[in-house]
Amino acid sequence: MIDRRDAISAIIEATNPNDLIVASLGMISRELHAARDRATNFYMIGSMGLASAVGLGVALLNADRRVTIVEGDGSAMMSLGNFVTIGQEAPKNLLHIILDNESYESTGGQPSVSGNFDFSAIGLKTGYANGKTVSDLKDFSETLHSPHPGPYLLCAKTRLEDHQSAPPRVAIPPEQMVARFRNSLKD
Amino acid sequence: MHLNSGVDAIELLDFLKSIGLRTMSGVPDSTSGPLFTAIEADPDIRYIGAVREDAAIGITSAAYLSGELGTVIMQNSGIGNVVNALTSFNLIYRIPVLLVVGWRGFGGPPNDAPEHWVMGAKTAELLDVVGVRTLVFDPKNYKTELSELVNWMNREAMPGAVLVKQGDIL
Repeated sequence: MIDRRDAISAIIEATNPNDLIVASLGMISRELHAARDRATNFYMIGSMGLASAVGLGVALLNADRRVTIVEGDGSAMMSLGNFVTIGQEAPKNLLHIILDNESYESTGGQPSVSGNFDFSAIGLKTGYANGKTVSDLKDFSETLHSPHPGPYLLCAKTRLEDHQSAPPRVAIPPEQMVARFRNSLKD
Repeated sequence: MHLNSGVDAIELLDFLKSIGLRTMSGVPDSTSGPLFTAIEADPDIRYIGAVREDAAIGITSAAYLSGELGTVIMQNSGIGNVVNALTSFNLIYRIPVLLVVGWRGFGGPPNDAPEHWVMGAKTAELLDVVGVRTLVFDPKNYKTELSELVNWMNREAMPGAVLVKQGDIL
């Protein structure tokens, strides 16, 4: 099992300043924001399940940029149908990471139904070019650093964290997030 | 010309392109059937098939993040699926998207099939409650009205909708 904080650090470490990240609501956006904020990070503060659709659109419309979606198991399962569109559109520049702690951590750690579910297998069945599930930080980090033609579905089994260590909410006004993200796509 | 004659789909699509709408997504609807046919045949349009209407909003919101305005084509029965995307994403981040919504069950019963009666009667009211500026498509005056709506959406960075009835698009 991987600590979410370590997973987020590994993602940051493997991305260039030019790379775009769309992060789902809850702890994932909060953790990414706390670890390293950038104009190229787009944090969803609401709209559970929408991050994969937004990330897909960003990848398709910016084929020259690497795009990473980071979402939780709850968000991914809520919009599992988006896997089908991603598989069909097949953007090579898209990495879809699911941090699977088998729970709804932001709302108090209630168990999710992902325990017996294989996200990467579903990704491969729906047309992703690559799919892998890892439960060890070294594997996760190595995968991020190896060439990974997309769409790539990378599922990392993560630990349910002690809620006391929760990073603060993303305090950037949503409109400002849009403005700076749009600006970072202008060049 | 018949008083209620609709607009040719290719002409409508050319107009939408002329006001900057080229990235589209949605879930098909028979009211806009001819428009979907025109889209399929038009290499200038990037259409991404969504599995749900809220996903179509997410995909086309990325168009705005990338410097253009996106369009969602859907049926009014999908309005229930887009409320959360609109209220907790587009309306707070101020990300405009044009919704082209087929108005099944317009006017309520006995018009159309029973599954469209409740939403047909509530469609305009529901979009208004959510806070989406909504226009009823007028085949005679659509260019002026749609241009005004899209200009307002770009200026205010807010989503907008146009309600299309059976026969409006031919």
